[in-house]
Amino acid sequence: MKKILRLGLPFFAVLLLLAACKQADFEYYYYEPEDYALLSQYLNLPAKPDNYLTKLPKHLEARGLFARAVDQDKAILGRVLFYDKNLSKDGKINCASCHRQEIAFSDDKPVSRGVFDRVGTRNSIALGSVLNFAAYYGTDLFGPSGIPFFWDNRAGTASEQNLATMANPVEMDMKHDDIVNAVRSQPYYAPLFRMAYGDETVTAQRVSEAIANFVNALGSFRSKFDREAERVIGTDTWNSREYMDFSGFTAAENRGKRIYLDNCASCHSPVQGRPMKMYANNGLDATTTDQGVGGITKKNSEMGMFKVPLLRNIALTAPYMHDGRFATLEEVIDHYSTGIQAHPNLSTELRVGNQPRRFNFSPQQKSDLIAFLHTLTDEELLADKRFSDPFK
Amino acid sequence: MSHAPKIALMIVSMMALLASCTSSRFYTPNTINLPAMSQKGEGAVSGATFFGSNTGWEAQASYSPAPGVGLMANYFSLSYTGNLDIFSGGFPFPPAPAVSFDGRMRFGEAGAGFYRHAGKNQEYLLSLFGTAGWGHARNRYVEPDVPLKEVEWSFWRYGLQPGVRLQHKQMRFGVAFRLSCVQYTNGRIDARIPRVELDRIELLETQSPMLFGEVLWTIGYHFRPVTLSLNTTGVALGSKSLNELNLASNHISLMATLNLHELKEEKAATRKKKK
Repeated sequence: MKKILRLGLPFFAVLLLLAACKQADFEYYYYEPEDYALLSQYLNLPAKPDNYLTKLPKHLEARGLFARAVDQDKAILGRVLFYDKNLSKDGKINCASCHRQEIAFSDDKPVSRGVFDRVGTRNSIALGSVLNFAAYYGTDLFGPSGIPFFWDNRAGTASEQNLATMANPVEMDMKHDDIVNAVRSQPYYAPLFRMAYGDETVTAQRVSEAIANFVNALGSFRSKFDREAERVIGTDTWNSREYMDFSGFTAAENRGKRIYLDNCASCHSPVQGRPMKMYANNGLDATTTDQGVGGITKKNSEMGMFKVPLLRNIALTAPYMHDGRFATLEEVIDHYSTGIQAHPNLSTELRVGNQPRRFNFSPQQKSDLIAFLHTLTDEELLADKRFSDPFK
Repeated sequence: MSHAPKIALMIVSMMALLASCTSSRFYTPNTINLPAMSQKGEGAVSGATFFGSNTGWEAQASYSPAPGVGLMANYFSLSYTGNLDIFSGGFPFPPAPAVSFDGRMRFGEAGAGFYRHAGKNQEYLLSLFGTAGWGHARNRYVEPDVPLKEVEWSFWRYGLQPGVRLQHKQMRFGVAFRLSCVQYTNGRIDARIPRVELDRIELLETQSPMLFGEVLWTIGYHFRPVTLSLNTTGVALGSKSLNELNLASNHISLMATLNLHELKEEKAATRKKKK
């Protein structure tokens, strides 16, 4: 037997070495070769499709937040549409003009500028402020039962939202027919529509659905906060672990987390899942000209109220508030600390009796809170190629 | 040999344990060839068929060109069908569309090794073989109202297999272990297959070469010059990625083995009788 082992084992070792030397080399194909050649003239799309399926960390799934399925082919088409400047009246604006990936799909201007440099009225909402677009807003499937879109919550679905944005004269100024014609005129859309819909028919509904599939895959859930929350909070839904210090946090970040949980989480969500309130007045002004949600619903009790955003990537998405009035996080915290105004619809969390609440944060508390807010930055989203500009 | 019934019981129990007959779309082991040579010049050929959702056949041959030295050649052809589990976690609504698959795998190998008898009555046959083989697999995915999608790949498998056979009267028992190294080489993948399946194939590609253990349990009855045996071969040990790929497959084969040496002896005896 010794002889057998002496001869057999080296023989097998040599074979193993031979095997280990060669890497597997699989060839993936997705588009027809002629389609891919055409697409490659205009676009940097991988031969192997990007994966737009998302699995959220367990501290979010345990709270019933799931990244619902998106259609991969429609998301790929949606990515191209999202970055296509042909979908604007002057050919200079695309969705990404006001939703820039490097700043978590937000805009750094107080209010966004649209076609022909027309000035909008509100600050562009950061698409990267949510854990996952579909998990946060709900999907077209669930319709208006999800969280509505825009600062004034006037759109029920992502499709409705993006069609409204494209049609808005101070944004992209494209009527449905304009959109269809613009898409039809670009040769790279034929194969993408075939992949997504089985034929090349272009309709405004298909365009908006594809964009909705793309943005529904967007989200931020890989921040330092999420890594720690998944480890420490995990599947605990009794909120008993939220106050536990995160060992991966600095002392300032942990102090900031406590300040956040005590003072901010009752509106903005303890784990940055879904906001506790869909909309509120946060006392920016005692009297308001932009009536937000009330401007749509015409209810006095909703005048001056706006969407309560999540704070993911908040450190990147200045300026802040619906009108972009605050340039820094310090200014935002100063507002809550001493600047809340007595609006008639002021949120109950921000008032003491009939008076605006004064949080009176100390300089140390402000600094700690800002340190915590920086832990909500998801660097991976900023560099995620699946969401980047595909145009050459 | 009073312990023979116990051995038989143990082998049958192990076979029952592995009798789920699961095939993997990525790799399914062939029946480990555990030769029963006793001297130079002896050889055998075997044919087997499968049970369950797998269909196919395999052929095996062994020959001893020198005392204590053996050669073997095996061929394995497998077809399988099933339904794909494409739920990847997350919210289970809307339900994922049903995707079924069918596939086939072909594998051929050759091996060389050593054998020796042991035991008071030389009833044990110990063997150690090294094998190398090449295989090809092709899977097709069927979704309603969508064109068929196909993936295929080739692989090498290197194996080292120690085994032991026990002969008791007409009964034949055996157990063998094969340390297998599977090296996927080239493949052609239609990336329009469901994403979850594509992820598995990417894992297969990145994890290659993969090392794992396979076990054979065999029980048979010998009536000269043929042995009829029931064999179970299954992937038994491996890394975590094997579980993710559901490579822990096994199958049961019913095999008929013709001992060429005995056949020759039988023919000679018949001729002698006739004379």
